[in-house]
Amino acid sequence: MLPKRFDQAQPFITLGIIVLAWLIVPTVFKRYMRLSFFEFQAPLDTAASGVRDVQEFWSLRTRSRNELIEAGIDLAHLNAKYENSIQQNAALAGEVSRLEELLKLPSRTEYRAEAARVVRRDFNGWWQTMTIRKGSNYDIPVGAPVIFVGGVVGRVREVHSYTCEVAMISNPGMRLAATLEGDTRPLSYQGGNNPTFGPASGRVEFVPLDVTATPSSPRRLTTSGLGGIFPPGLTIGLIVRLDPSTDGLFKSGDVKLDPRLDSIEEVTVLVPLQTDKDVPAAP
Amino acid sequence: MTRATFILFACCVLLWTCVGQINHYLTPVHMSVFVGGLLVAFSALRVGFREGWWCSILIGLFVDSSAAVYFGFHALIFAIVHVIIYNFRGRFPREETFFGVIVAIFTNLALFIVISAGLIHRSPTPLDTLPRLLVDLLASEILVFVAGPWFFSLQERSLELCGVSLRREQRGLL
Repeated sequence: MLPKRFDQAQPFITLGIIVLAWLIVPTVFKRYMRLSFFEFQAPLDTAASGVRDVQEFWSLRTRSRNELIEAGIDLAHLNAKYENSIQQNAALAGEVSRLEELLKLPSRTEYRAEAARVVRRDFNGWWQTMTIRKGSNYDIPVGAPVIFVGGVVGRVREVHSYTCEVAMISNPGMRLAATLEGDTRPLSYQGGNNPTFGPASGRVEFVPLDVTATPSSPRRLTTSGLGGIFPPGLTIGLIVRLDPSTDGLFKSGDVKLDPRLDSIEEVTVLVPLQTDKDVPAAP
Repeated sequence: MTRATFILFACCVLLWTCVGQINHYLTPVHMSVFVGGLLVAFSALRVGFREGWWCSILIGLFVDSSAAVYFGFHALIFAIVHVIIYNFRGRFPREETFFGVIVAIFTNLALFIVISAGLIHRSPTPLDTLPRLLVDLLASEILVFVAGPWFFSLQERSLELCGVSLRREQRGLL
């Protein structure tokens, strides 16, 4: 029979052994376990998301025909506007590519837009992530930019079989290269705090001293295209306050993010297309 | 791992899924709840060491799989908390639900503080995060207090339905 003192210490000894074993377990094994546990969890969240969609469908079914007709007319007006915009964009894209060829500029990364429904949002005080309903089954790579109608949503953090996790732009660990609208100087953006009942915000650093921004005259912050992940010109948010940094060389300040990010239901993942240059030449 | 481990794990998965849905709906008001203490309390207080401990590890890994932390972070702190509660449980009326809820509330508080301390360095302005964390903590503790008796009862009845008796772990009966 084991002495009583050993019996009392047994839980702590077991804990120590398991912790040591966990530290020496290969990363591949941990990665496999993480994926396994997530794939076990994914159907639960996806099912809950499906139930929400059904609820929405039946709530929409209660709308009267007159409301649907009015919505249809509004949509027709919007479609007419978008058709016009598409034609203008096609003409401008042609002009841009002609000028790029003329000036021998390097080609830009092209993207395939993949729309996806949001399965679950998880915005706590420690991290802000969301799960979307498309994964490796749609060839979505890790690090792909995610956008919505209001600008940047975030970046794909993990890809699973038929879902993927997106690190939100408001996530404190999120950093990206940015620039001011109408300016080319690079700035640094980092996700910030998300106060209760208040809008999500971020921080901008290395802003040149000549730039000013106030709540009454904010400056739009966009992606710079540096780093190769996000295409340039996507809206990040509005700089509403700028103060000189402690070293006096630059300014830093707060960025107000789009409030629609908090209740987002549909996003678009930009999947980089492999161009002929990326494909290795045959021997 | 025994049958009891998997029954308790299934109950914890159910709770975690429900909490995930609550958090999904709370995002527009920038609030979230955390019930880690409730996931560990029953298995640490009522069942044998091995059954409960494996349950804490499994649910910790389950939480880790979708969390933006190092894989094993929650499993480790759940296991540590489980061992501590298990070691002291003999001195308290652990069979009573009210005591279990009190333990869950304090465990949740401890876990919340540990996780916050471990992750607060990620924020560019850590002090500004504190009001949000305090509101989240308050909401979490209220949820643990409200849902605690239900969750304890759910786990107890699930074990009974599956033919696992808790009598062996109760004092004064054997």
